Amino acid sequence: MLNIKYRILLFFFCGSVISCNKKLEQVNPNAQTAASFWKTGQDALEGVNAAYAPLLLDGAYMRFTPILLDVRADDVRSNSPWTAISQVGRFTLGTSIPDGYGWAFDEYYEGISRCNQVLDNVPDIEMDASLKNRILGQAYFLRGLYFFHLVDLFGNVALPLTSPKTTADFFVSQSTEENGWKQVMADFKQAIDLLPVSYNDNDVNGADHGQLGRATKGAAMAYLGKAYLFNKMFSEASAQFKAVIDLGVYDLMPNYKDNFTEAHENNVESIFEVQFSLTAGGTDLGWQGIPSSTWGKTSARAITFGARGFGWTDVQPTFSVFNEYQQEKTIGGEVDPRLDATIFYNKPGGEPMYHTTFLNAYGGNPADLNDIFCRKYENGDGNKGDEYDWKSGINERLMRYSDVLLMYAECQNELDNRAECAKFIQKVRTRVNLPDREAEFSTFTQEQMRDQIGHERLLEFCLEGHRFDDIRRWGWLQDPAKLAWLKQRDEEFNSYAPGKELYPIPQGEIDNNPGTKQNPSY
Amino acid sequence: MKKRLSGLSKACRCLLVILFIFMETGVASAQSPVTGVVRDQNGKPVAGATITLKGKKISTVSAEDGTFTIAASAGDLLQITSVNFESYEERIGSNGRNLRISLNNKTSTLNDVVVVGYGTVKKSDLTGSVAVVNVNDAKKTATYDVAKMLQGQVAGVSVQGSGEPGGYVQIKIRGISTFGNNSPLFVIDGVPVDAPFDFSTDDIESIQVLKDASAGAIYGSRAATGVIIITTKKGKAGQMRINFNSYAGMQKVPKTIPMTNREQYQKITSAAEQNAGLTIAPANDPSSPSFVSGVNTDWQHEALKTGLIQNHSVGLSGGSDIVNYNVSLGYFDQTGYQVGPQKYDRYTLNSNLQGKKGRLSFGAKVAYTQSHKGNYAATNGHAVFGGTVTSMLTAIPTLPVYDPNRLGGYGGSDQVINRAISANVVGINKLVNDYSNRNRALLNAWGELEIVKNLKYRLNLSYDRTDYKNFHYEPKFDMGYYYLNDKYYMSEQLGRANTGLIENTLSYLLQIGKHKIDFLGGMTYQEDHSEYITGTATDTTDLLFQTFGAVANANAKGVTSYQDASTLLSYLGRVNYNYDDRYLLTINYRRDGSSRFSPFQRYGNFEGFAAAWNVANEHFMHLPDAISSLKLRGGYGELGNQNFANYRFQSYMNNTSNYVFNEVLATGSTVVSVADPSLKWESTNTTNVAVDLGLFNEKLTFTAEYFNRVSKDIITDIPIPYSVGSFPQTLTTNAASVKNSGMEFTLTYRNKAGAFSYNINANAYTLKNKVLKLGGANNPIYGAGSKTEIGREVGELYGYQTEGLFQNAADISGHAFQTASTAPGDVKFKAQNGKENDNTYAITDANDRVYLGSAIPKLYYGLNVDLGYHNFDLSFFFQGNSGSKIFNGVYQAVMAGQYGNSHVDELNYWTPSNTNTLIPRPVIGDPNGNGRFSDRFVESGSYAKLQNAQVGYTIPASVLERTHVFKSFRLYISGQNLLTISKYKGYDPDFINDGLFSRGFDYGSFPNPRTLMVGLQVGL
Repeated sequence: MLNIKYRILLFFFCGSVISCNKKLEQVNPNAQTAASFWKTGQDALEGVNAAYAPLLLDGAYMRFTPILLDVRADDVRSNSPWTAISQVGRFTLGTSIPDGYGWAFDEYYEGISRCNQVLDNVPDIEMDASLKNRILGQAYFLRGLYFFHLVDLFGNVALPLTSPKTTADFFVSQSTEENGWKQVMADFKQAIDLLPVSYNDNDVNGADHGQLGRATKGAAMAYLGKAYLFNKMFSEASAQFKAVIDLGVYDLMPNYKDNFTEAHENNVESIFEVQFSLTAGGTDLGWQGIPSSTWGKTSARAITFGARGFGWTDVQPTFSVFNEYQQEKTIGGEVDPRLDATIFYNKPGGEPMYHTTFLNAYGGNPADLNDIFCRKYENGDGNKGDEYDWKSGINERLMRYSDVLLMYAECQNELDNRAECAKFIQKVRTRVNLPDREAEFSTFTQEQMRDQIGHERLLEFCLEGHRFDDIRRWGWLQDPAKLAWLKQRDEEFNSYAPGKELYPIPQGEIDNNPGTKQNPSY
Repeated sequence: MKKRLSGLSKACRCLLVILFIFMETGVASAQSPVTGVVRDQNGKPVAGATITLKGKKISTVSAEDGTFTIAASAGDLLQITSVNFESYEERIGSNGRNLRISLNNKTSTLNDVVVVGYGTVKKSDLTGSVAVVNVNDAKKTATYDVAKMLQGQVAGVSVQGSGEPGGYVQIKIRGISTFGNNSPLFVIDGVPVDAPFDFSTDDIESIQVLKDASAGAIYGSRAATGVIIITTKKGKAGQMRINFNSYAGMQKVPKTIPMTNREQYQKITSAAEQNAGLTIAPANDPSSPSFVSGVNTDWQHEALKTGLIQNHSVGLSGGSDIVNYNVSLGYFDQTGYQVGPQKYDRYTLNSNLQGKKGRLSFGAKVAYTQSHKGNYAATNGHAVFGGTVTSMLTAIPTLPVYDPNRLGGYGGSDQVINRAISANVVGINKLVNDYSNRNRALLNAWGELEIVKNLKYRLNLSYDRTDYKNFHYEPKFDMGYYYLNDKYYMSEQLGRANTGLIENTLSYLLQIGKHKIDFLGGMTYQEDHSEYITGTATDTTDLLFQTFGAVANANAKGVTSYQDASTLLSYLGRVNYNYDDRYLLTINYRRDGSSRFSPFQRYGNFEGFAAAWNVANEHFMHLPDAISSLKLRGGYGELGNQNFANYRFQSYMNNTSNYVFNEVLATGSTVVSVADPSLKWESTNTTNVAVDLGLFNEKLTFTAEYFNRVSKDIITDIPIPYSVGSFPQTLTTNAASVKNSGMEFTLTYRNKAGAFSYNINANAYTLKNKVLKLGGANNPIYGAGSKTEIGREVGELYGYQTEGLFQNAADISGHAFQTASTAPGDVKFKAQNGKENDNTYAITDANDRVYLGSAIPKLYYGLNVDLGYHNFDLSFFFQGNSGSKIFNGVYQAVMAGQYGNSHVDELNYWTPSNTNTLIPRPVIGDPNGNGRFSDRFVESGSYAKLQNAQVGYTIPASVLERTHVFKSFRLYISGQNLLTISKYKGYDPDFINDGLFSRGFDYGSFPNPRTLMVGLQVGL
């Protein structure tokens, strides 16, 4: 009797043990494992789409990359209460709080990680060969773009080129700035060979057909040229810019302002732009973190740079650039139309601003009435009452055709082709109705021409993140006269110290990647 | 869940059937009745005393008037036992009628039964480290959370809390043993539970704390952070009893921080602007038409109120020899002391049923809780810097609380006029509706069959389910600069978590002569499921009804969901060996398998052993008579831990890394977070030695313990280089190793002199923490003003050392370089390499920060004094700690010299004519970083608190008897947190934080309130 009892007990005891053992195998019901992905062309396409997504994050073009690129220059100032912004302009960022610059650093690497996943896995997928090439080309382009930002802003950075296989692969040693640029150029070169000129071409027949915003051959060539230019490789740079021009698919928009509004995105002047949208995606602000379907795809640039009473006014143009716009009138004797596209100010005759006018908005307050505010990339043309919903859908134009033209012109000056240089400078001026001074420019010395290029680039690209790069690569920070001039134009330069032209490497990278050295002066 | 458990439940059903087949009923043989009455020393009848015929299976229970009847015959030995009394034996004489039995109040606790994992043990037979909590003392703390109740009551248990109604309480046993959740495992009536705050503290009968590995080993994988075993009230045989407990009181913040008023604020801020070369904000400039002179808001006055706390419970219990029951209902309600509708209320039901029929014992428990917590400081798009406590302080006095011209009706700071970003906490608390509701059911049933004598099979089944709702609605509002919300935002999360547990155990007691061996073996299986769905909506038109049905615009809505599951399969075994009550030995073994690890790392094996020597029972030694007990014990054991998120050993595709082409979403998939496939169990090894001493027939007892605990393979998120490109920039892996050691002392003394009785219960302990390993490159972990590195403590305070202020330009150029904007009146930070006077050397975070003190107290202590005189009772409870430092984040915020309001200390800021000060010049933008983490804000964290004082009066039984209604009646008044002795400048040195890497940082925790209350305890 007892024996039977024991046997039954034993049976149930063991039975439940065996069935439970299997229960220890729990499969995540929320997501696919990485091991089961990367099997189809669709997987490959989704992989490269994900590599674009970090462009939309807070540290990237949602907010901080424009801040990091713009605020240091002499055309931009910041009195933001948020020191992560105002200290950028004053060159006084510390390393204890990585807000802003640390997010940018991190998010560029998130982009690189995603590019590397594509470059590691897609070659082995059996799929349409031309689609595969386009996907790999975009991954090379995007990796080059992220490295470009890292090398440009932080200098000596690690250059991971594959996904880590084991935890030992996490520690890619810091590289030199020189090798960083080499990698940028190598990636763009690979991309040029693999990318189509346009996704509207008939031979682009995958799911990517007609998708504006994807990287093209022209974008890769323009960026390769820019990388050469930043390294003073003028003839190589010139060749790339010429190649872009010779593609024959780009032109200047007749109306300068159309480059900074939602209405004319991905236009004929646009070579590469970051795609924001008010309608795609969810409603949450997707600042950073693990992406969620609830994330919207909007930019917070407009509220951050926005005019007082319409946005946070963390960033403002300087009066020196405001004055520089007034130096030369158009053929019709009017003020340079680029001023009105770039800056809100108390324009004689009244200037519309959101649902009101500048005068109405600030009439009661003399201090603001005499102040100036950012207008470029703002939604101030009447389609919105203010920017306080944090959401802007305006695409950020990273590479415009006019930039290619002026960089090409700069190469010609450095290569002593003054006439060619003058021609292309005037081409950009003509679009905004400035007088034809091509003949006069042709007689300039190289030095005079450099100054003219500085002036033209400042007015053409104010608030587009190019000015500080220009100042630095032209050596003005090392030139006492130029530096004094900059201090006069923007008092924030008073606290500039040598070395501060690079941002600090975030402490997290130094602490956790052995051998990484901080940039000098931090 | 239902489906997943069906296989199990099939097995369970079969087991239950078997149990019932085995059931037999015992029939007692009739004998002649013996009657008697049981009384206490004062002649009061003792109800519910158990009267047993020793050696026979016959027993009964005394009635309310103390009388009993039992079938016995002359020569039988009667044993009478009752809680709180010494057991008593009497042999029945020839005339077994009207026995008058007088029980002595118990002084010795040696024969108390202590609940340990899967069983009980006599206190004198304990080998491991088990602390028995004095529940009466602990319950004097008015709280909803059992964890808070334990503060200061047990050596080795540290508790940090806050005054937020329903707020989180941080509890740790013997320090940090993991980098995740260090909260101990709570076991309520044999069921391991998370979030024990859901259950009413009124229902607690006893609490035991298992501190070392040998005691906790039987809970194996979940015991590495210690185990707290809670037993709730059970019914007793006898008439039905009704108990009613009630208290109600008022709560206030015991301290006000002296803040500047309007004029003082305007002076400081204007100086800060002038120092930065800025114009004076119009609101602060007397020459401006916008100058504010008519508003002088004292935000502490406006935002603080008197909170209310009340708790009521009613319990019914009773039963017979066969079955008994206890059912209780409870209600707890606490409103916040900060203005707003925020509160915590909770309704609880707890019912226990247990019985015995023949060889089968059985029991069941049903507990149900419904709670509501209104949350402070909750906004979606607008950070309330430092939480509502710090924001209440930094709010500017030139801001009115109410402003009918602003959307929502609350005052706001103007970007142009005031320039300050200043949260109106009154407005935020009142406008934002954020709450969490929880409904929880805990069901448990068990059956135990004595298959043959001393061989018992026990089946324990439990199911614990929590349904929760987290709701947030934030209307459109305009509270000024930055606090401008031009879209409503609604979010509703509905979720549930459930845990199913099945435990099979077999135990056998073998007694041969003086050898007594207890065997226990078992298998347990646990399955956890959780899921939630979250809906959000945001749009420009406020919702009249806060429902998703009211959201007309489909594009304004979003929804997401998540689910997960984990399983745990364990085999356990234990042998307790006792030789003649002199030599005791315990051996534990446990093997755990967890779904959280890959198949290659799935199982962990953990064992423990402990031995004790009851010296006082030794024959060959003759101890002095004063020594009534003396025991030496020691043990060693290993415990596992897997208390971290599910599915972490594999990397997953994120399928929502989307981008946009042509304004259309393009699906993006990628690995966002890297994973470590070789994740394995954490383990903790504890060594414990102790001596237990009892003197004067146990009137004085003393325990001293030493422990040394090494936790290794701690699973933590180690920082990885940013350049990996993973988010977060961490890897979850077995990385760290930490050692904790300490001494614990417990002393109790109880005595009685005539009508005066007293009872003193004191404990003190030390805790040392040392990080042995951090993993990876062993890089330090930085927290808020803290650093954790090898060879030092977790979360040690870290920052710059200051050397006073710069007085002039020469002073600056003769000192290590700080920033290009450093000016006289700025703080001098010390260079740590001897170059403090070398201006060519620039101080940096990497080279010039140093340790600024330990966040872990050197000594913790608690003291309970209970005094009784006739029908009055008086008690005091002190608790505190000493030797720690706090980084006062609140003081840092109110000494910033920016646009926010300041502490009055800031008024003494440096100016060229006020140089004899340590308060730097205020300057907007703080270019020198005067507000950086430095010793300026590090303060002593030592404190002693009179946590509780209570005076009670019990109406004498003689008076109550005349009512024929009341069996007992006690009234009391009580004060809590009455006195804090501390040098701390913040609100309260007992504050809540992450308890880990930033444990010394007070960001502005809700201070513990001072409570005054009255209470009533009635028995019917």
